[in-house]
Amino acid sequence: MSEYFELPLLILASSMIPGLIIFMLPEEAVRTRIALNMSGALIKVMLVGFVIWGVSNGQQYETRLPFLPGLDLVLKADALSILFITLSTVLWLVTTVYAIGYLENSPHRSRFFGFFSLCVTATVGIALAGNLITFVLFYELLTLTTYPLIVHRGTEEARQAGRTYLIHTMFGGALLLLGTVWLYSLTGTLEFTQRGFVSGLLPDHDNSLIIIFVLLIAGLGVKAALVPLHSWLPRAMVAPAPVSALLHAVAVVKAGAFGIVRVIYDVYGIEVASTLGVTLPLAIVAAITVIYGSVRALFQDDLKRRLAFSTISQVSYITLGIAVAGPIATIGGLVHLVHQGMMKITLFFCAGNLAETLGIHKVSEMDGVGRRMPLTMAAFTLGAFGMMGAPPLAGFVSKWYLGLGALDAGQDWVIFILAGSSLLNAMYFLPILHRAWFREPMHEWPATHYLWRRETAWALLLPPLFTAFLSLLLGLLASLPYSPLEWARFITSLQYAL
Amino acid sequence: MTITESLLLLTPGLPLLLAAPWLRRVVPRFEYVAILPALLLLIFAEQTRVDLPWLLLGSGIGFVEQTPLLLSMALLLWLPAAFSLSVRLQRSDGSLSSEITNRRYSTFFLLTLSGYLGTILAMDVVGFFTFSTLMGYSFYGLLINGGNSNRKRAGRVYLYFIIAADLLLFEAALIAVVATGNLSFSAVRDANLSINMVRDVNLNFEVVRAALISSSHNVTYLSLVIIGFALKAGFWPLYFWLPMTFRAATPPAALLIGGVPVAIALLGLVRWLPLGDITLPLAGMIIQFSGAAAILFSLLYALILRELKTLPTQLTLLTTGLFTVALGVGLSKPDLWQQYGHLAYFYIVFMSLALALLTAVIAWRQDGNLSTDKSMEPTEVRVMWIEHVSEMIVRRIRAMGMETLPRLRASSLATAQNYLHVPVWKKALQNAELILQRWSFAITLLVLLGVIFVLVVMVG
Repeated sequence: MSEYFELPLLILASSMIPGLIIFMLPEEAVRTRIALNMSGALIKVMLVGFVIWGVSNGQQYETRLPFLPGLDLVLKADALSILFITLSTVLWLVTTVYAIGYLENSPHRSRFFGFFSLCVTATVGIALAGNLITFVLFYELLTLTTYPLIVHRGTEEARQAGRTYLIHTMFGGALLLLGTVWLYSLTGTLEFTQRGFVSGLLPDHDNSLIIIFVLLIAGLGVKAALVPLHSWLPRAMVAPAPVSALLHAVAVVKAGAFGIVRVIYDVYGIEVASTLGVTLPLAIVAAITVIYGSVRALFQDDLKRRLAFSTISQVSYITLGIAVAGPIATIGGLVHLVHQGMMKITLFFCAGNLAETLGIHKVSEMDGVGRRMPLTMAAFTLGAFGMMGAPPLAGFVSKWYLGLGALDAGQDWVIFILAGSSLLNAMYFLPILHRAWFREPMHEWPATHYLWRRETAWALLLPPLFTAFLSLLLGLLASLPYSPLEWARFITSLQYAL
Repeated sequence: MTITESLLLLTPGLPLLLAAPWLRRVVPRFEYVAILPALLLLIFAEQTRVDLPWLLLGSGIGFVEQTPLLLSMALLLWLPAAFSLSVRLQRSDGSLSSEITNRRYSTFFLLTLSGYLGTILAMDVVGFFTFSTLMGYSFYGLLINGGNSNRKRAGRVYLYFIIAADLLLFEAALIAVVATGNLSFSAVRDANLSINMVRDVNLNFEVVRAALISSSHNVTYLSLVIIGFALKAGFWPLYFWLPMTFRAATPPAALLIGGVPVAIALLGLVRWLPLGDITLPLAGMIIQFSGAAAILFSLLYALILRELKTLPTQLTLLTTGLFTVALGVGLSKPDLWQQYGHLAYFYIVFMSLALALLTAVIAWRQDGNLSTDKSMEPTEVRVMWIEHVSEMIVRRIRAMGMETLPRLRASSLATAQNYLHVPVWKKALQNAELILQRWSFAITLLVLLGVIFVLVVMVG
């Protein structure tokens, strides 16, 4: 038992307890709900800050609770989990502010914010999971807590999207569980270990290990939206904007991608995975997803659907970086976990602002919107250019390392995938920017009724501005200590024993 | 921080800050204030370099031997442009539409200026790439702002070219890192060094040029850099955006075409290529040939199209052709480049100033001032020469009685059009998506079985 046994539990509790209390609050208890949400989010930020400081100084944080004979529930803060937990904690705080503004007059807010907090609890549990069984438990919890958020509006479309989501993710969860049980039967352990714990099974169980790998990746690939398991994601766009932002930037797709990282590095170990020959097919699937998502995004007129297909493409960069199986590409993949989250949440916040303030849902309705909502569109512009990989934004740093990693690993074909993806990104983002900034509005926009002729409410305006600014800073100051890039280097140095 | 270092940071930094409209409102005469740090730098600075290891992937800017010359060019070019902007702002009719257009124009003006000054001061590949990207996209905004269909088409073509160029230069920058050996992880591991080695990526121009001399990737790098900057500068035969933009841009923007995208692309070639250090006779010869062809083409262009408005394009093609010949010579005979290479900077400066002057004179003759919003040719949409040439070939062959080729071409085009027709693709993908949604379990299981089968066969 470590010195700070209770800290990972406290991090979980900081969102779970407010979530459970919020369920019991009446609808009209707005201030109490806001106070609970904000204090939970702020406490979590402080706790995570403390953990970052501790881990970088060699401190161990581990909670171990008995679960099944021979299997514990383990929560552990290591370098990799900190990367994900920091992202989810910071973005939860920002999304909470946004959601408060967005759902100001909506019904069922207590239910929404209750599940919202539980969803973050599950995400943090995934990040902190110290073994595969803990990971699977929180992974399933995430499915169950995000479903009510997707169907929140209660429309037929929302219910159908929720059903599709539930069926896909439960099916993925079943595959993941099957792979986990099979693996446990072979190894007798499920503890995440640096450079993996299955090497002892080689060469006798090669085929079993390959099949288990496929099961695990297929189970995780549903949430990571790898083609052809991605269909639920564009349909889930019916959810309110804060949920879309959370699904795409923090919780669901990231949980899948993070799981793939865990399986390759802490279950199999990169050397065993390479020996089994499973990394190249995974890289090919990721590359297909990168291109397919971008091509599909080109044809979408619905702004959120376009962003959804863009997520399918962009999240696969993470898988691609990991599967290329080299240290530099790993840095690129890991850092994109954070960078994509920051840029994509900006884009979804902006899409939400356009919908909430002006009723704009389609790209074809965006002519001249930059005049009416310049700050929102400025944030959108930064996010879009970041996605295209334009310097000095965060996306450039990710693509730089992915490209270098591909060259270093002798997989030059990845360069063409990156170039093709950048081109396609430009093809589906630049027309939006052109419409917004350079076209004449089709009609007079409704006048603003906010103080100082603000384009929208503060709670909706500040979050995208903040995340857009962070997207710029993450690229511009990528080489500073404690930046996501530096942290990704640190993780890679541990994984590759450098 | 010394005064020079502060001025170095302020030179691209101040216009970047002033691009924010709310900041501009509190700074009177912002169009001149933005240029002020560059002027002060030119007057007071000593040769120095500022390393910024915290910036981006580790960057640096500096005031080196050629900087005063390039900054002088910048001032001579941007002061009239600022004056033109100033006149434009003063003549605004006060309507909301004109206010919005002017506000946007000022923002793009300042962003382009920041990118431009940044490229001049950048001391490394990544820094140069970053500033030139900022400049390129902002210049697009400057080109099409408040424009007619002609201007928008010109802007669109220009945008295609800079996107393609940036992709190529990004790949070239990656190759530069590989060439410098900064990122060889196997070497890091063998030498038992730390992963922190990769943090110290040094992509200063001198380091990159020196590393490329012995690198096996130098021809790939060279090709990517030359094609990348040729796209940006509008070299023959990749010059399609040039005549369109010269014709369609407003005079203040047209004034900057020669000095901004074209001149900075030439500067990029001089900075990025290991000229004077490397001997590549074959590549040099090919480049000289293309330069000579460009000169010939520009002369033919001048003879065929004796119009005043095509003069800037002709002159650009001629000067960039001459520059290409010089590049080729530099690659074939590095000793000659070592001896005369510094003249390339003077050439760039004079070329950009001459082009700006020529554009200004033409605009003056047409409209009587430099601040009008009218483009040189507001309505006519020109067909590109490549479209003319292909049409001419088809006509000629048809006249010779060879009907097969046009027919074949027509049928192939029709087939290709069927495939390329977006709604067909869209429909196919939409159907595929529906099938995926409807049969997700079956397809997933099928894919899983397929993957497992392939993997087992591969391992077996």
